[in-house]
Amino acid sequence: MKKLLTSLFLLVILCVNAFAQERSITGTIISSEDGLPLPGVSIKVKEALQASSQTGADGKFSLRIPANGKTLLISYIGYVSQEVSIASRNVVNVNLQVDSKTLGEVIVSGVAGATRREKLTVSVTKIGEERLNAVTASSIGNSLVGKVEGVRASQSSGSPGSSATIQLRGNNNLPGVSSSPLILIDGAIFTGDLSSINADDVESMEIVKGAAAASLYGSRAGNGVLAIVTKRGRNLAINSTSITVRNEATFSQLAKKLNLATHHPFKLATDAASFTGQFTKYNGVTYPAGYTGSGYDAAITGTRGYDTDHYADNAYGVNTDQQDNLFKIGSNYTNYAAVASRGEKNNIFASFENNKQKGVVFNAPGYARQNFRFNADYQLAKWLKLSTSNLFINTANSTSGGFWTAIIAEPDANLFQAFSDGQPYYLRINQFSGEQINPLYGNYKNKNRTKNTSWLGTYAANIKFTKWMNADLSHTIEINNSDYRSVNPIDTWGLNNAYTGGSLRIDNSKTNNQNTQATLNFNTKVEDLIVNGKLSYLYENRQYDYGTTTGSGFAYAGVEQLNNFATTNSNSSQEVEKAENYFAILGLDYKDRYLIDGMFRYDGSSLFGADARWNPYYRVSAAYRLSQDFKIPGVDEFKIRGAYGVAGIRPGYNWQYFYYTLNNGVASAQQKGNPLLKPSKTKETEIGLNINFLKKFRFDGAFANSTTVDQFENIDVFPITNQGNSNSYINGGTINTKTFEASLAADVMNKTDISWTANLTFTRIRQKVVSITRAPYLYGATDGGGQQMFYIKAGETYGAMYGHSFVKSLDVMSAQLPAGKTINDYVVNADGFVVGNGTEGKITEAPILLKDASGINWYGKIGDGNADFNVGFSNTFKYKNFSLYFLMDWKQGGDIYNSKAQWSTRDLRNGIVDQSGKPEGQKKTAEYYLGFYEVNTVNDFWVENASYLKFREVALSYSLPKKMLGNTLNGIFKGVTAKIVARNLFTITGYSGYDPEVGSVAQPYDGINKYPNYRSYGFSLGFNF
Amino acid sequence: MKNIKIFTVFTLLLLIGNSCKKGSLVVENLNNPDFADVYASGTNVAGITGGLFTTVFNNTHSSAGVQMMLGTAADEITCSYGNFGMRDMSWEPRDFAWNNTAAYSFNTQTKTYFDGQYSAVVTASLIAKSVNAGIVFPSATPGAKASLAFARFIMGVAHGNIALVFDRGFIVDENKGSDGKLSDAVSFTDLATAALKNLDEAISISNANTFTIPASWLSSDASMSNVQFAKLCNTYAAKIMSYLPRNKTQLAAVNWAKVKTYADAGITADLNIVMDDVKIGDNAAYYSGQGNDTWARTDMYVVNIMDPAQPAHWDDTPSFPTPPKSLNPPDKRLLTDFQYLPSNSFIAARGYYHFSNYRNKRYDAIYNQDLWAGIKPEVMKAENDMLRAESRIYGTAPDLAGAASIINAGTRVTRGQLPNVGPDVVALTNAIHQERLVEMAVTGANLSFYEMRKLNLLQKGTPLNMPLPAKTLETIGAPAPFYTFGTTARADGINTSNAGWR
Repeated sequence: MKKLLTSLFLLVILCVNAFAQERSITGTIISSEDGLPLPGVSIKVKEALQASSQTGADGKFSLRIPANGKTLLISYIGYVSQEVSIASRNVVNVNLQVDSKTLGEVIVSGVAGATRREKLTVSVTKIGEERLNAVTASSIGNSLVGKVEGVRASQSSGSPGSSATIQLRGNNNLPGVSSSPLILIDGAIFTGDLSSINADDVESMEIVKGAAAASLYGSRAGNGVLAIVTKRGRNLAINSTSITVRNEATFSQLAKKLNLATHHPFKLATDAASFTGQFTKYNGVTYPAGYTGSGYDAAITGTRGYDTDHYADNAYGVNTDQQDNLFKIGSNYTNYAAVASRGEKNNIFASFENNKQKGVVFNAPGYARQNFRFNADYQLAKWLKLSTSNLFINTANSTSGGFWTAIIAEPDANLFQAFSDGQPYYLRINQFSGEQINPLYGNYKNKNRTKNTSWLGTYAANIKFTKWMNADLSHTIEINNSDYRSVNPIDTWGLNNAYTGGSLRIDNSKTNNQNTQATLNFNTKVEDLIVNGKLSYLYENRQYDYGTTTGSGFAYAGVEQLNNFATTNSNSSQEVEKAENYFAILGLDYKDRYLIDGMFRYDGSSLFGADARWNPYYRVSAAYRLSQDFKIPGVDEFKIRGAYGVAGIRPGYNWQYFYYTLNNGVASAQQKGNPLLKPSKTKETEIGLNINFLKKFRFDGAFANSTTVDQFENIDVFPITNQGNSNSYINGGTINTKTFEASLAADVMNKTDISWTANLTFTRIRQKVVSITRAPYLYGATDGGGQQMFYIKAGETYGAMYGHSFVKSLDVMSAQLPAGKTINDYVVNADGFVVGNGTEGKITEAPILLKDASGINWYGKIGDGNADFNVGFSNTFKYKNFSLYFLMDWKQGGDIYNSKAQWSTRDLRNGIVDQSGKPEGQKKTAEYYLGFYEVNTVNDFWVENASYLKFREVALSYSLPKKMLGNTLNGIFKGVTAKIVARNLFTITGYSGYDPEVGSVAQPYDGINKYPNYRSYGFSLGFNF
Repeated sequence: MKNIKIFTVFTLLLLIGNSCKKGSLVVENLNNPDFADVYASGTNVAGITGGLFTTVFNNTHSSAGVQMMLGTAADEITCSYGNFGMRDMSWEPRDFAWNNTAAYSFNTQTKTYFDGQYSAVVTASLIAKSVNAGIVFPSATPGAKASLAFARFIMGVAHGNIALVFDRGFIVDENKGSDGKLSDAVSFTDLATAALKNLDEAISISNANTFTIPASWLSSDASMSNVQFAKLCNTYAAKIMSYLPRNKTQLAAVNWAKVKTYADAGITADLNIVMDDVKIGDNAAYYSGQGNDTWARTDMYVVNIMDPAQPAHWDDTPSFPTPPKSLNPPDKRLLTDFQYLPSNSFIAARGYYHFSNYRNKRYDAIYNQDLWAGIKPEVMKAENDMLRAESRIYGTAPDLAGAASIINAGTRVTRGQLPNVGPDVVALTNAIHQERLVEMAVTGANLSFYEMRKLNLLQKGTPLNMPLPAKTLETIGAPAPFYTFGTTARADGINTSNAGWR
């Protein structure tokens, strides 16, 4: 390995030295920002464009000037182009000014050096602050949705403080392994919660999509990379200071309620009408005097039974939509202040943000976060620059619930009934159901909160050795401390109408990640060849400590500590991970049109099995800018590119070990070890096309085919032949993903007072399980005990749902007739399902399960969670000082399994069960719908199309005219902008649940306990001083 | 400056030169002992021996296992909830085949039980191997003989548990393993024979040596001498033999003389488990109704046994009246151990036949609060008494008077305040039946299922034993579809009940 690295190093140096030459006119181009020479600057003679040159690593150039040459055209990415008169000069030195507009076009992630978008050979998309924060998201994790092609994100829960699940291109991993991308913040690996990163501080984000692009990041990058760059003071003019203050207040509100039944099928007492407004009086039940509501009362005797017709068309004595009791309008606010300053040799950026998200649940504290940032750069000497980025985060979050119990609570339940001791929200709200409990009590009584403190620090030095070589040394520290505390006080009521005695749980975890990296950067030009390269070494050291203690049954009231229990249950664990990574990358740019990129990386990690400790990654990529050679009318830029690369995913901490599980001192056989366990590898081939045309439009398109091999499979092993162990991790299956992604950006109009920019993104992803080692299996969240429906099977779509189906035609029925039956014994009912002839409207009317050829219930594919395609469409219209921005997010196709609807049918709470208002003769019995419920067995009745068109972000803003600001308070204000903002304003969908955006990208499953997404709208006011 | 640059280059080279340093990436598992460590010393072997009973107990009484669904199948408890397979094993009419597929959401009930029991068997066999290899036990441990006896005891109990629940299983000891093929499985009778052999060895070691089984090994309220431990082994052996029959024919064929020998040498005091809900606990008891009235209730079949005035079955009609509280039932335990519930909280649409007006509250004190800690018998002396009495009813030399004497001296009279039973086979059988369903409820797992099974009382269509778990069959490469039991169509009286109490 050492020899290989040395060879690569020498190769780079030889390349650099082999091509050096000089021309007749010479000069040096330097940056006005730091006075340092700029390599790769394009110099052309305006009067004879074929006469051109580029600067070398030292910023110098030479150029033969033809007789008619008078003016030099000097251009460089990220800088304002200049025209310079040559006159009679033989030496032309130029200071180029930084262009803040085009700086956004320079990519630094996953490449050999800073690379302009037009010169990329792999898929990296950069998105700037203007698009990220048009409607500032609560966190950076929520700001990507619909904005970047190839990126799929799902806001799986409305829970305050939660972040969207983000997936770059396909889901490359079998269940059990995260498909979230690697997060880098100012170059530091961030393993914490993306929802804790405030969006206001973000200057830009680079999305390194696919394994080919991300291969530079090796064994952690199989899911791609999100590289976040935060703001610094370097973009200000020298000796200037800027202060930004922004305040936002929004309200949150459930956008849609579920359609729940308002009638029931139970037989009412003959005098039930006399008790309307008090309680539902059922036949056969004796109530104590003065009884109201529906709550459990030990004095009630008898049990309600079905009315003769079994139709849910009988009225409740009281009819309340319990969703209105749980969901309220919540408030959220953000206060942000930042100061940036730049001196001759240094710059700083410091900010503070306070964010509070209340959510939409009654009586729930929600989420609070404070972010403190300090970034600074100091040019200590011409050859030495020191930089630091620091982020301190403080969050507090309280979870809330009641989502399921609010749905199944019957309309006559009085949620505000008190216990005998005066506590509100009497728990047992239904005499005839042990599961219908008060959705408000848990949120009222349970005191839980998670406090996190995080510190992410980067300390870096850049040392320039020569004009063509410099080094970056950096050390990053990431510390995440989390403390969770949940208290149910001693007087917490249980379902048995007695105090539970209370409980306390305290969890804490500490993560300390320290990474040290040394990188040698090469950048030079030899004639028409620009060479960029890096040699790098990265050492990672991760330490994780976790502890949890629980106690039940407080001895004394009022002391909510662990020493107040007779016994407690404690558990602790530690993880240590060490990794060493070496990589070399070389980028060649010949004549500004032929681009070749190659890299190799070798990663060693303690997570890999003892016999598979080191693993290689690599990439080759190339691009050809046709438009440099062929002039196509109307086409400003035309590039084709291709890449092949390999990146990986590391296994979990204990997957390699052969161990017994310790539980309170008792060891039991658990896992058969695997010393050969190695990282999974994603091999990706991609081709891409970039076209800029008509000076207004920019098209990027790519097709990527990735195959992930050596998937981690946690297989069952036969205990008897495996020393009693029941599982083992192996490298097994293969997944293939095909992605087509495209974007079209347009400056439709750009005039002084009016402008219109638009951005359209398109993503289509297909993924298939090519092979697995184990037998086909189910996976997925069950959210409260539901059943899994996503099925892993070789040859099947990854994301396929499997389950039962019902017979929908007589032709099909004729193939599965029970003995003694003829097809005349069946009909297709009004809902399109085959039922017994003559059973319609009777309790015998029941859907019939489809059978397979062997006569057992058919079990097959009933849905596919993958969207047909995703489209994002954003527009910004500006007229004078007004600006209107909106983002529409369209998901076409893909299915959701609506477990919430299925399960609520069990309790006859689903609105489809309600037969009130239906004409006689069209009514169905409760049993009919319970047939579809099928005891929660997965079946296709509950698969719904998840297509939607969502108005995800809308902002209408007004900026005070500069003239007005100049006349106010001595011009202290540089800008004042007021915005009306809205998120998830409305959604067009046929989905019957709260929101078709539910579950993760990989598992669109609407579980019973999901905190629904909601809309928010409000006002933002920003000041620049 | 030059020096700084040289220093920087030197640092870079040093970092890169650190490459591939052998051992720098070796991290041990910090949280759990690895396989080699566990068997590396007598102290560790004694430690893992001490956890074996906990493993078996927790697995046996886990709601994730088979106890809950066998309880509803036996009509000892009733619950309309789908959880733990309870509803699927108690449909009426009882025409439900155990869904022995990996896709079935409750496939894990049998898998968890199977894996947990075999985890204990295999570990115990490895302990026996260590002992036989001469590993040295420090004096602070109970010693080699205690460890070996305990390992054999666990192998016997767990092999027996598999034989009692599944139609077949695998015999494991330190000298005999399996190739992981279905063809290696033996019948439940052969498996029971192996279990008895394990217990016989435990008894033999206990009788030939002096040692103390620490209270912690059994999570019990007292340590046991080798003599007391031998008694416990005898009781377990009698249990396996008595509870094994799938029908009355097999019941008659049991070697009752041998049962009598075991039971007469059995326990003379309850085996009480000190549950702390931390190391050891019985969560199936909670879901069976202890400390709550929202999960399972006592089936009317059992209520009717205590008070014939109560219906034995809640008819599946909304007009079925809620039976009033028994004020003076013949079996007074209905008043002391059970709570009357005047209305039902099960979903009517799932069948009124799930309804009941009583729940067992005998161990409420343990479960009333969230603590779930306290002392509960796992094997009652009364259970051994019933085994002794039963062994005197059947077989070639019945002693009905002796059986009656044992029964009348026991809990039937002392707690149930029931009249003495005479030396009549039917009366004696009914009396034992009543004790097993009433007195021993919520003690050892699955007793009611075994009791109903051997008396042909499980409703027609109920599986008499379970097939090997689908995922186990999958793992060992057995061909699908996997075999199963249950439904009236399969009612052969061997694997699926063809009789029933109603």
